[in-house]
Amino acid sequence: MTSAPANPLASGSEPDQTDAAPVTERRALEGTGSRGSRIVGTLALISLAATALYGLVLSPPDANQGNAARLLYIHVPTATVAYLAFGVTAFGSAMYLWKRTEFWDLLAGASAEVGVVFTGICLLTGMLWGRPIWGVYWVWDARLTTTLLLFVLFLGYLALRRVLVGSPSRAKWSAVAGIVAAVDIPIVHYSTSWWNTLHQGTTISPQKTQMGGLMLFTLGLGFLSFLLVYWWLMIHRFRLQYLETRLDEVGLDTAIAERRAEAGRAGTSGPTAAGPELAEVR
Amino acid sequence: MDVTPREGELDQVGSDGEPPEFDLTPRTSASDSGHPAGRRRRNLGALAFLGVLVVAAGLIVSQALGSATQYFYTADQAVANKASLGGTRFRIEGTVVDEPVRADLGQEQRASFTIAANDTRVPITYQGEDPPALFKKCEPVVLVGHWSGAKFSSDQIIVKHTADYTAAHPGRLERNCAASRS
Repeated sequence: MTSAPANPLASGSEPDQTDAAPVTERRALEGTGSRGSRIVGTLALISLAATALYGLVLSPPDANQGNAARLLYIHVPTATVAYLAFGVTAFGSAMYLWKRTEFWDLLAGASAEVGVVFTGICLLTGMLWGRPIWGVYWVWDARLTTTLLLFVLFLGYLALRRVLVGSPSRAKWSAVAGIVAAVDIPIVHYSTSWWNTLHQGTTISPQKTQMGGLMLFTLGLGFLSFLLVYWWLMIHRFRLQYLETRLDEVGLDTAIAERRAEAGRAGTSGPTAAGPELAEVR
Repeated sequence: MDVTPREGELDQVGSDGEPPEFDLTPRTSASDSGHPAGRRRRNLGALAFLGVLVVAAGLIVSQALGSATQYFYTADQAVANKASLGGTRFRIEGTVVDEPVRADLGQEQRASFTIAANDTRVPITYQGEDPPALFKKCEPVVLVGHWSGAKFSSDQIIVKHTADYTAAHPGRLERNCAASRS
């Protein structure tokens, strides 16, 4: 078959079907996206591309570690943004307990989701770095142990939210769990200075920065990129959670609508008259 | 349960079957809506997962956190606590201050060198797997092993990398050596 006129993918002559779709349907297709989310998403993509270019090509290899040091441009920003994400969860949880509004509950939940993903990336890149540099993938020192605990705690927070779906006290108990889990954040951060850890201490601090110019610039790009990714994911996950809480209600309305439609088809003499009566019996 | 249609809903449903607008008023009983069976299954799965996570968190806190806070003794701490440590297995940390004398035993390697931390030097005898590539003079290391007389006998070398990142700096390792003497 040399030409494929029947294939809609290959044919450019046919008009786009979605153009004719009603406005409501098109909005449903877009889901959680919006003009704002697409702008943030585009900026995140550009920033990530720049980070990849600088991280993999333009920045120099480390004098001692060689190319393994390049993992740092993902590892450190994801760790820091995970702190931020879990901090937002703790703040949202506290605000929920004070204000009792759905916004704060959903903000806390969405932020924890993104934070868990970023902590996972941080743990993975750390292990990949550890094997060539330390000689081992994993050690049970204070930094790694408390970070793994942070990962497990917020995974538990998300599991709790899932367990409590439909419960009227879901937001309250989630908020309590979110605040308790966040106690680990400062412990993770200060673990390298409080205890003897294999994991190195702070590279960048106001007192002393032990990193060269182009490497530092690339790390800054990494921070910007993962902040944008966090922002973008937050928009979508927040909206998704908002829609999820309404799914049950829509489910009920759909069920009622279906029953009414059945009643309308069954009653041949007068659908509008029979509809409400049958719907009441259900 | 009241399922009488609200005002204005009838027309929408009857005409084109389009779902009605989202109703934002809270429901009195959440379990009446949606698909209860499906949700119960999901909740059970989530509950089991939550149980696993609680056990994991408990294990991390009870098993790992205690030893994690004393992941290693620096060379001077190990010397100071030599009597109490006895022949027990622990980790010692210090900077390699001399060129390691290495011998290849086929499957394993043997090495002897000296580490130092805070002006305290400890001679090391090592026999085990090939050390990490970064193991060399002036590099801080963590060694797993035990006291054996005046020497520390080790079978695992872990390189403890510093927080120092430089594009190309020949003086970097020498600074480590200088720091271990301070």
